[in-house]
Amino acid sequence: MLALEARDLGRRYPRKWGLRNCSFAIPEGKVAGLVGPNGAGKSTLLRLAAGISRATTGEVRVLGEAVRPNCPGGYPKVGYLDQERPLYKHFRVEELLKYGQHLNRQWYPDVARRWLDELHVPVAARFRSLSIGQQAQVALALCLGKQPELLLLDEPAASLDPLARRKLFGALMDTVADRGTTVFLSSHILSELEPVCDYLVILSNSEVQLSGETERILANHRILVGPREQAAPEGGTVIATANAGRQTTLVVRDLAHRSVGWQEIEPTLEEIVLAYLEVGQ
Amino acid sequence: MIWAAWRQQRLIILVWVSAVAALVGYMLVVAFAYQNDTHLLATHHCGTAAKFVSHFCNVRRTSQANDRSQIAHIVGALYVLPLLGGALLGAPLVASEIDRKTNRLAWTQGVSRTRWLVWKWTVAATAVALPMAGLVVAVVWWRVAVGRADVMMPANFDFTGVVIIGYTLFSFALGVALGALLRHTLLAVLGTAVGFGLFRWWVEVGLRPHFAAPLTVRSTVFPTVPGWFLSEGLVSLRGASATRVNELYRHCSYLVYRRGGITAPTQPMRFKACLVAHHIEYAVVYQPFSRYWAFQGIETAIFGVAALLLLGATVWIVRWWRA
Amino acid sequence: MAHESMIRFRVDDGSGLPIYRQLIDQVRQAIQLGFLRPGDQLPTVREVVRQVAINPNTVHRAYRDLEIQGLVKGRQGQGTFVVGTLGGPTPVAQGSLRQAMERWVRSARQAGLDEEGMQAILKAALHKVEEEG
Repeated sequence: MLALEARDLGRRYPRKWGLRNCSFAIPEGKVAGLVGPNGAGKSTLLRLAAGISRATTGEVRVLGEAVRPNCPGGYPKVGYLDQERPLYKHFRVEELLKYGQHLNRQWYPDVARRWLDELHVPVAARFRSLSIGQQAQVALALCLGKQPELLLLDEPAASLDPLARRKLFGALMDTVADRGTTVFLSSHILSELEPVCDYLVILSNSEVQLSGETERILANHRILVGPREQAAPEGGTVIATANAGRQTTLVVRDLAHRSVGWQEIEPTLEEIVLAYLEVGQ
Repeated sequence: MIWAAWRQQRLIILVWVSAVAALVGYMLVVAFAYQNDTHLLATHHCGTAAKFVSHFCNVRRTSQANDRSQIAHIVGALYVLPLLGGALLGAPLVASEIDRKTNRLAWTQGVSRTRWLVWKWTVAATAVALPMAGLVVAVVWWRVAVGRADVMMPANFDFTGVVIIGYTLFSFALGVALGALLRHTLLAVLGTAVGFGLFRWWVEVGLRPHFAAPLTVRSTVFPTVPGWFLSEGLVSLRGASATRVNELYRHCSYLVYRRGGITAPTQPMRFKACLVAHHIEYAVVYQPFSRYWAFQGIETAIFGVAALLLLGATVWIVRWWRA
Repeated sequence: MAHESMIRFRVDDGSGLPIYRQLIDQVRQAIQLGFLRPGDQLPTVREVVRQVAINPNTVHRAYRDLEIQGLVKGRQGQGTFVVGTLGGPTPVAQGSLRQAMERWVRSARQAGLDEEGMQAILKAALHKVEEEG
């Protein structure tokens, strides 16, 4: 079953499109990364999936059901972490947890509490007195306490120190291993997503440039190096071209057969992503 | 959900309740002072020529005048209070959530937006209306104690009965709706003040006189109206036309006041005799005092229904507009 | 889960090797050097991902490959256990191999190669031998 599916999803703002022609399908249990530069539409996409924004075109389906802005019963199976971590500043942390308990029929106080205790976040403190990193942890605790089936996280590792970041991804991977939670998280730093993601959505210029399982992406792409004026090989889509001196480097997708005159290299995920991000510019 | 709604608005609710309680306390103090001064002026015969200029009487009269001005201030406060309370608790209800983006937290939990809004609204509406109910009880006693028992009159109708609860709920609901629409607390407060003023004016001037068919009283001189005066006119007992009636009226006043001027005390009697001779009477249209509580109920219901309609509009805005 | 982990994995971002390969190599090395013996339990998938923050499927894949290689065996409900050994070179063979290597390094140094140059040659040779099967 698909945890998250977008079909031709788009969202228009008064002066421009925040997101357009967005289609992808994330199966259950995957850890999907949403990569792209700032302003590419990552937050817009996550808000559409969370039901906060309404789509202008297309639709997004979560756990098999179409997402509507006003869902009777709310969204108990989805945990959403907004980029700005907007919580009630004058509440104490324990009151925020109580808020989570009162607004969710299924709430697991131990899970939320344990998360905060492990990270030494003081539960009696007021939210506004916490550091940015601690505030992010509290916001995450509110997501995790629901034990949701799908986690939508907008830049969860931003403003976290390396230890907290390691613990965050460790806890996320643990819940994936334990309960088969699907995680869809955004970042503009690919290197922190690479070890954890097995599905990727590349967003640039408000459009999806590429999406799919990372293994298949790695298998489908090749870097070809050859003489500068040489014609591109047939049977494959050239994503990016780079010329330097007497040499040309191509990033190619779906290369049908070995090409004569080109040296074939297996690219890293980062090289593939960068090639697609350049396309979007 | 009730706890969450309460916790969020805890501070402003406590401020509001304290403000109303303080006003009630002030009202009691002023009422007792006024009653005391009035009593002393009477028992010391300050009205008679002998005691009129005594020092004691002067002091007491000054004190009573001071009380009267404070009473006037309190009445002014009672006019403004429904708008104040409603705007204060209503405008930020949705506006501050959207403005600070905490709606992104609230709308991604396990309750629908409708349920979220209705619970928040109900908790706040109760908190804003209950103190006003207590205030009504205090005012019912107070208005008699300070000599404002003439309650059907527009000047006193607006603050002496249950209508102030209706006004407060309406201004609250308007504040919430405008806040949800404009996403800006201050603008919502200003809009509420304007909307509240307009709607109040329309109901008071346009609807209230027609809550029930008014009564008419006929008399040869200006009658004491046993109720709220609406309008007056002249009627001919012989069925003469309106133009003829006006002619006769002008004739009588010219007849009487041309000779001797208006100051002579016998002239009104001559004027009256002239009208009787021409079979002309006054007819005064009014609403009787006895309808006071019925009218209070009707007006409160109007504002209450308007408040619920505004709640419906707010639900629509939050579900559709703010997505 | 009171037992202590028998092996602590580490992931090298810059090595160029897929993570599952690194896990496999680390288990093989530990077996070879005697740190892991038959009967020892490998850390559970949950333990690994908590420590190293990698996708659980990566761990599953590594354990599966190790099972195919005959080095470990997964028991339903209990965990994954080491069952095999690696016939590596004897200490004597290791010693003579090391000496041969040192001789080669000396001649390469005399020929003018620096460390990078030597590593490039080593990599190419490994590649070639692997291709030969």
